[in-house]
Amino acid sequence: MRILFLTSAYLPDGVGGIEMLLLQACRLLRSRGYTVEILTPEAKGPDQVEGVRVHRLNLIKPIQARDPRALLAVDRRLQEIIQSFQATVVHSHDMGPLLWFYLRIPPASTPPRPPLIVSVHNVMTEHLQPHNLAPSSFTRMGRLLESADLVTAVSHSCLRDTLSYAPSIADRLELLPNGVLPPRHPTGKPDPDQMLCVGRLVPQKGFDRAIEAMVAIRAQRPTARLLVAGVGPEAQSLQALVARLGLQEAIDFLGLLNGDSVRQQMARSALVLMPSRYEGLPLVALEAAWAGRPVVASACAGLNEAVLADVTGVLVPEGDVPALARAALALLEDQPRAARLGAAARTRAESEYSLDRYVSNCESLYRFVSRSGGCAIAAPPHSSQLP
Amino acid sequence: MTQLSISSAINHERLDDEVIAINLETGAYYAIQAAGADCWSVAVAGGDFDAMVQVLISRFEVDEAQARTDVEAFVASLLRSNLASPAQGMHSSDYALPPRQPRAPYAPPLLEGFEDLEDLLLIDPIHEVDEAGWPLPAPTPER
Repeated sequence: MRILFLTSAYLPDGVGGIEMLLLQACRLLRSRGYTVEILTPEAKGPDQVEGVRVHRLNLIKPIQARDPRALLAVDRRLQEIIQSFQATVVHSHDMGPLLWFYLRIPPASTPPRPPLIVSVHNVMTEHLQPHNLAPSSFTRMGRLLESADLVTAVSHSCLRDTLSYAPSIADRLELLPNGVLPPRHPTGKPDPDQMLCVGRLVPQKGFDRAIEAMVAIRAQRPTARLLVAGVGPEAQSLQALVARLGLQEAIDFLGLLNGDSVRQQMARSALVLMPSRYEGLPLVALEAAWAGRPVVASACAGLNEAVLADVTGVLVPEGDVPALARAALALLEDQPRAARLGAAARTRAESEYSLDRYVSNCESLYRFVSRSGGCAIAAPPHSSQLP
Repeated sequence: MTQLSISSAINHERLDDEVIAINLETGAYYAIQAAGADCWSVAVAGGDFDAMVQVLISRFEVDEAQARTDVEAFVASLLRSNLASPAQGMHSSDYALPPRQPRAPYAPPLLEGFEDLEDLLLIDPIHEVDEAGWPLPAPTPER
């Protein structure tokens, strides 16, 4: 079976959760006999990652430049790729201009357009709130999803949100939680003073709140430290915040880490802080669980599923910095409790969030849409029936 | 009406059987296929309504009455979308039309408009960064 992934960006050791998920899924799918290729509108980057062909279409700049000649060239290149690869299934991760261009290929073209699965990884109404988009943009997203043969959402929050702007896809919307690989090495004893934030440095992740919480944490526990792993547009403002609060000795910015380095840092940390404003089903929380580390997180969409309150971590009201500080400090001061929560998180990850389970679920969906011929799917397999 | 003048705010390109036109002021994006693309090429070259009808009759499996009705609707959609305005001027009979088998299967000329293509960049969660793309190079650790 030949699978073509559509994704916004694809770079080795990329810090984005979707990229990490796809990198690992590609490895596992190939080991199971699948041929996988990637198609991304991110123009810069290698054409191959671990033996997987990456087609890079320069799509973003022509849209921004309003350049019809370049857009037509991209459109033709996309058609060539689809025709030459002859995917059994096209699996798009999130929606965007690439999916929109893909859907411009008529379903009845020669060869026929392959069946399409779209996985929604984000709570889009939250994600788009700052942009103040017109309602027509949500209609547009709904139409993109209506064109898919099957739509998946990574969490119940994401699923409910998707139905709010695409109610007509209820009969072909499935829950498909993410999965991650277990750590390669046994997780040792953590540093009881070290906390970790991992992710893109964007407002969504709320790392500013973690930095602000460090003031109160350090007042009670002067040896506490926070590591921030990731890159992004907020880097400078976060570093400025650290300087303004006089926390230079307490907080380190690690930059872009690869997956192994992230897992090592998790193993060394007593807990992971996730003060996000919203999430789909964040891989960082799942990786922390696999590492046996508790997560102190906002009780926001997505995170309130990835973290079970007082079972696998601690949830605090979203945006409540004092509560975040109190919860983190309480865990640093009570290492046996932190260890219990971490162990419970690991047990849950093993049963619900393995990469093997994720890929097996994908395989079931691929078989289903390819058997159905990709059109007018009436009764997709429900997630409860998935392996 | 005689001829059409394509608005100066419209950036357009034809490749094979498709025209893409973008309004540089609003970012609105339009696609025009096959018969519509031929009509567009006629308009760009200064051809008039009758020339569009004649091109459709000669190149597609369509009779004149049907072609007239469809071209009228198509031209109206171009005017409504401010892609073109009525004009008079130089006329060329060289429409630079791509070769096509005579009397090809016909579908009425249609203007497909997409008002907010650039919003799609916002919908893609990862493109919340600047035009340098994502991810940015790793900054040097502070300490």
